[in-house]
Amino acid sequence: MNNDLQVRPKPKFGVSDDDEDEMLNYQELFQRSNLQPSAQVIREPKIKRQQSTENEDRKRKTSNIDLTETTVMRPIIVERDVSSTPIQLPKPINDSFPQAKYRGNEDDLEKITVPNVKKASMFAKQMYRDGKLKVCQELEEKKSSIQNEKMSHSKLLTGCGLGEVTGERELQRIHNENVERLNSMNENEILEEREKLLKSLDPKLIAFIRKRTKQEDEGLIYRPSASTAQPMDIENQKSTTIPIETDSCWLHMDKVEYEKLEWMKDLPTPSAQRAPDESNPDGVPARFDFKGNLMSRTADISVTAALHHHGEEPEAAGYTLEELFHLSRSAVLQQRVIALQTLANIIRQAHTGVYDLDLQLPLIQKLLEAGIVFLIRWAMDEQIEAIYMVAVECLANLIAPRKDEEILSRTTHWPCGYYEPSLTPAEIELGEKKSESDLTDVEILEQDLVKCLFRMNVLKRSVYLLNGMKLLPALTSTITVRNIFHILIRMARHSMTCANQIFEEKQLMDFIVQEFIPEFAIPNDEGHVYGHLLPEALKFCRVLANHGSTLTYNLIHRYELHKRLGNHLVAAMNRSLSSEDNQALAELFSLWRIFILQGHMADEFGSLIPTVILPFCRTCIQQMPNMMISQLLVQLIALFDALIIHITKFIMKHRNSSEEESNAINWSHIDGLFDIILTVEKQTLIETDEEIDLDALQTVGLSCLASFLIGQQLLTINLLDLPLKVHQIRVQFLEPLLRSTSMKKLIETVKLNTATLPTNSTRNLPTLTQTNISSFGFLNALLRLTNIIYQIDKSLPNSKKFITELMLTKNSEIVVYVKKMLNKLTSNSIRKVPWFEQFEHGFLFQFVQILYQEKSDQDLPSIYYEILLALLPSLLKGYHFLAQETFKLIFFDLSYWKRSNEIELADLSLITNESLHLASNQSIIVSSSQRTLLYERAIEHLPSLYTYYKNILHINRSSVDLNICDIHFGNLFQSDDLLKLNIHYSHTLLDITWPYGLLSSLYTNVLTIADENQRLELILNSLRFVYILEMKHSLILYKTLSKTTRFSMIAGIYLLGSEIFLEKNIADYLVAFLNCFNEQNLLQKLETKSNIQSLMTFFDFYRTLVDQYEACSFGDILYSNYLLIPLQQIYDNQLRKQVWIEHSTVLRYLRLKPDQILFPLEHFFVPYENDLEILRYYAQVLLNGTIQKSIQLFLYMIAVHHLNGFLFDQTRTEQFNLQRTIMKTIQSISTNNKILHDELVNYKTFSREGPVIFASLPSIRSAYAMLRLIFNGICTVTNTLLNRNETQASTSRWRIFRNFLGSTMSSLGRPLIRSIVNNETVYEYVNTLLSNPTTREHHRRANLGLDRHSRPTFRRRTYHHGGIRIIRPIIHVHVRQ
Amino acid sequence: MNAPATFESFLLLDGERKIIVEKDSKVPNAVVFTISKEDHTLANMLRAQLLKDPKVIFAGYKIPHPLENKVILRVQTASHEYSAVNAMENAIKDLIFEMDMLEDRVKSAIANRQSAE
Repeated sequence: MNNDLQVRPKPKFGVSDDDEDEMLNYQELFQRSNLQPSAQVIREPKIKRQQSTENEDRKRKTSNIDLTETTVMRPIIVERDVSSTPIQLPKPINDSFPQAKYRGNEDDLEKITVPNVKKASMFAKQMYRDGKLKVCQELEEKKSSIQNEKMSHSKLLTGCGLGEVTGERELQRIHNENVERLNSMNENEILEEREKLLKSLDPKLIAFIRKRTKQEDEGLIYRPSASTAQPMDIENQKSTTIPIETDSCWLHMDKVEYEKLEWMKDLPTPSAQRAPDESNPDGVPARFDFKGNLMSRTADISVTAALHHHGEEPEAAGYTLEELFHLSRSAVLQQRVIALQTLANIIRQAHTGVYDLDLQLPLIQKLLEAGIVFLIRWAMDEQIEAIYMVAVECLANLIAPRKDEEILSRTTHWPCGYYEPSLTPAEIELGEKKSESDLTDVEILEQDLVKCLFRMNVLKRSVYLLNGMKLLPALTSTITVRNIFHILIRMARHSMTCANQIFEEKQLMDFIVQEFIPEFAIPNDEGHVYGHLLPEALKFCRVLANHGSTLTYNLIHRYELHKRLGNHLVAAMNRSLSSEDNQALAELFSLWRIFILQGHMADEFGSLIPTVILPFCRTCIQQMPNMMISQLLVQLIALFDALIIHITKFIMKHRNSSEEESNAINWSHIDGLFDIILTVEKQTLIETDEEIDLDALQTVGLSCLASFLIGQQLLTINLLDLPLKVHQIRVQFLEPLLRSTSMKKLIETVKLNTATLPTNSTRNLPTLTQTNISSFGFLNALLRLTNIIYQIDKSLPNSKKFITELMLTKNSEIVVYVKKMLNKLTSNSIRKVPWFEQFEHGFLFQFVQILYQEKSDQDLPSIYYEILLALLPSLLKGYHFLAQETFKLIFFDLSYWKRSNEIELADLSLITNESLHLASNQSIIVSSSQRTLLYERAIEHLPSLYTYYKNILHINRSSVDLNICDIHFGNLFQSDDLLKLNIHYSHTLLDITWPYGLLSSLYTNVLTIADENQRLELILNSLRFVYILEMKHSLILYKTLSKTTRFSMIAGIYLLGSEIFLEKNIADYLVAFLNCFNEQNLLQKLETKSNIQSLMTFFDFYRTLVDQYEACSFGDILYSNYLLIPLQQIYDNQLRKQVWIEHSTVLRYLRLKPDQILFPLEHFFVPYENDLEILRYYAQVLLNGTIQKSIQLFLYMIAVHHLNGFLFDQTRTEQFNLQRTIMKTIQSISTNNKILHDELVNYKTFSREGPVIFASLPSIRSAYAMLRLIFNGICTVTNTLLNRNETQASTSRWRIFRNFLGSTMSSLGRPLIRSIVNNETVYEYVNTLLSNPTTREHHRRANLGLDRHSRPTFRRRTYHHGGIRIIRPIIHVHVRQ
Repeated sequence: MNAPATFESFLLLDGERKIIVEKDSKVPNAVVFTISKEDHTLANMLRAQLLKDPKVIFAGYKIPHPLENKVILRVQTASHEYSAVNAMENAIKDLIFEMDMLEDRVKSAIANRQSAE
């Protein structure tokens, strides 16, 4: 024990905190051993003092300090007794300074090495040299050897890294602690902990530990027996979760502050439940891992995945978006990089739509709202590569979904696939600002993301980054360069303005062309992107070139692209094809194709054909079933297609001009291509073992062959040769293709492939998101070729019927698809058209056209006509030709229109050229045969309707008519300057209200046609067509247009001119329409609170209609009918107020008799009016004679009906005042206008002839009137009585009278009395009387007012006795005993 | 800047007629009066007066466009013996009479008032 005490605390290296355990240990030992304190109060012996100072000095210098006896501080400080101390003079010295203290030679020290210590301090070395260290070491060894004997060794810990001396001791201490802890736990606890550890530790680590344990000590696992387990301290139970034990020895440390030690607890197990959040009560924040996968909250994710962190919910793995945003602004670079990288991954995944089902809100939209764009933009400005690269990736992922581009590139070679979408969001709303430059970045961002990017100088930054990355190693920069191109491509896709803006950014364009489309390809050195042809750069040029011929011209000539591309093409042909080159070459073809379509660089390509292209094709064919080659061939054949179109166009244009351009490209250049293409296509039919997707190649081949045939036919070159070619195609390619098994499979899956609306598209960033690629491109091309073949060989459709046989088999999926498509097209009036649906439109049209040709005798089912009609409003801008062709097909097929499905054909002999005079001032009911007659009449006008509707298509275009080439080549034949291969991604060609033609633009005064006749013709045309559709019960009217729109469009004719409705022709249609609507019960189903599609609100419309009626109707019966429709009781009372209150002059002309009204009258009478203001006006116009029975019978009837109902209605208390006033006025006029009074009181019901009146007053009403009389009498009496004084009031006669009153009243209801008695005082009196009939204090309570609770409850009951409504209240009168 | 001159709303242009009377060919006994340089002030008054006439079955006006300073008034009477032009004349006479009466009454009322003070 004593030994222990005397052991000096071992020296420590570095700054170490006091070892409390040790200190306490010593303290305890000391107390137990009862040792003498080492410091004592002693008198210093005198001898010592007399020692010479010199000796002392020397001694001190080399003093051998006894470690065991040294005390740091003397416990008692005693003043030295200096009384007897002799005072010595200072010793004279020779030197001017005291002698320097000597510590031995320091150089020697460096050579000394202390055993067992790696790096000994100078002090230690000195001690060692002086032989003092030995003591300490010996002690240490001795101690540890004792301990070794006593205790077991840890198997696991070696303590290396802790230092030799401390290590050993520390190790032992840790081990002891472990053992002690294990001892304190019972078996279950240990197993639990073990389980926990096994879970939380890296499995590799566990395996390592196990192995190590086994090596050192086979099978020996320390496990305390159950008996040694300590009983648990119940009081300290709480602390078991926190590994802290208190010790009373610590000053002020005896209380454990658990709330501060929360962090030491184990993580709670993650649960799906979460503390309720105010902002979002259901749902938990989404957490993502680094790859952007959504993390499940309940899944058990090991902490080694590094997804747990000190966030809001440490137990849940993964990062929320908020946390990522936070981290992306961290000061630590790595955190920023990781956060942005994770965000980039999340965005990439979000665009694929994987989150759509899991997240409550659209993720991309939320990110944009949170300002991710600014975050990225800031990150792009950083100088460190790691971060700007991630930022670029993030931006590319955000604005340019990879899937969009991929599918777009796979559809470019489809028929009409050269149209690229211009992804322009809706027009920027300026709000209060004057111009776009006044808007802040944030405001622009909300409306248009790409424009905002331009504002934020992304272009300039891109140049800088591209330039800066040139010096980086190839591996790091390649992806970022590509990402920058993705961003640029998406920006160029925005609109023509943006494309021009990019093109004008000269620095950027120069750099791109110089570096990525160099004049000559330099031999490749380990995949560096700079100085080589980059596919993305070519694609970027293609997207720019799509924006029009002018931009293309500038692009080619500023950079001499023809030379550059030519060089590369020739070079690539001579090289063996590697995959990288392959991609660039494919892009090069693709770019060249767009150039040729725009009318540039065709000659250059033509000159290359015989020398370069044809040999290349031959080599390709030899290698044929090959994925890589087929991709190349697809682009090459698409290029041929463009070339054929260009040449056809060119020759057609210059045919009439006399000058002969010898060097220009002509048909002979491409004549040889036919065989090549056919050979390639034949190759695709060869069945191969390996799965190679040759659909694309077949598609492009089909359309190229079709173009070839069209070209040859149009130009009338070798017409004799043409049937031969057709035969060749049929036999060698088309028929085998139609028979192939893959074809059948394709048709079976067709209905699954329909295009869907993008889900991730936001308002400021439209995207095209499409999950799968459909087969409609292929089908479209197939049908196009078949169509052409039919046109060349007219006998074929009757003999062969390829398509009918293929697609219209039993249980055909195509028919199912067409039905589904019809539903989809007519599903919603505000349907947005997905970009990729355009191919389906083309397919549907071609399909119907072919079926039309193939039908022999039986008619085509109506569904095909319906679908074409439904298709029209879905066509995108740019598909003029398709719309025109559809019109042609529909309007010229009389067989469809004359078909009698529900329409009984009128006797044809009735058709004369005279006007039908359906509308007369006498009756407006038109029989169905007359209507059919009108229908026949309208059908006769179909050819002129075609011209009319065709002109609507071209109303906004410079060229009015499309020629035949346009139709075949899909509108590519416009004049070159206007040619644009970009069409807006969702703007449709025709409005949903297209059947109404120009009517809606007439309503809004967009179109001003001064000539009256022209205007009449226009209106008539629209009316005719709509009438035809209406009679056909056409789906497009019924489904896509709301009833309100259908009604208003027709009623709106009245607004188009003061005298339009007086024209007989138009009036005929107006009558017929009214009858039609009436038959469909449409007049009762208008939605008066909604908008008229693509026009104004119904309310505004009605107001202008009433205005117009007021100004120039002449009280026309038909017009009055139209005007009355919204006045029915089922509609909003605002509409009635318009007529009855705001335009009360109108009432004078509405001289309708009830039998002149076409539709059921009940709707004007049932239910009763309950708007007090209108009722007051009813009374007013009746009383002041604006409405008279002899003139405006119908209005009179309405007013009387509602007033009567109102006056005898006793259900509502708030109307009593008005009731009384009106009643009084009526009474007052009863002398001079007896009829009105009688009718108001005696009114029974309405009828076509006029109001029906009770001969005598019905009992209930007469009782009512009687009561009124009695009460009037009573009131007078009471009034006089009340005016008498108190003494008289208490007389016995008064009491009798009061009792009489009380009993009478109690048999009636108070409200009834209130409605009858119009004297407030009397009412109050009666009221008090009723509630307290026996009290004498009645008059004192007179002012207390009506007691709410004692009011009788009324139950409303309606009895119908010949149309009269009686309301009989059930009265509970409470009489107190 | 390009606002029409203020006098345009009340000064007749050279050769412009104040009132044009046309018979409506499609409606019996109907006449369309086009009154230049007038607005609601006159037209509304005229219409109200016309509608008081029991033989007038329709009287309505409209201003074709706010910038065109004219009013189109359509009047229809019950029979051809009493034409719309007659009705119009009567209405104008009545209106003038009413105005005169109003003026007289105002004057006499003022006179009464002044004499009372």
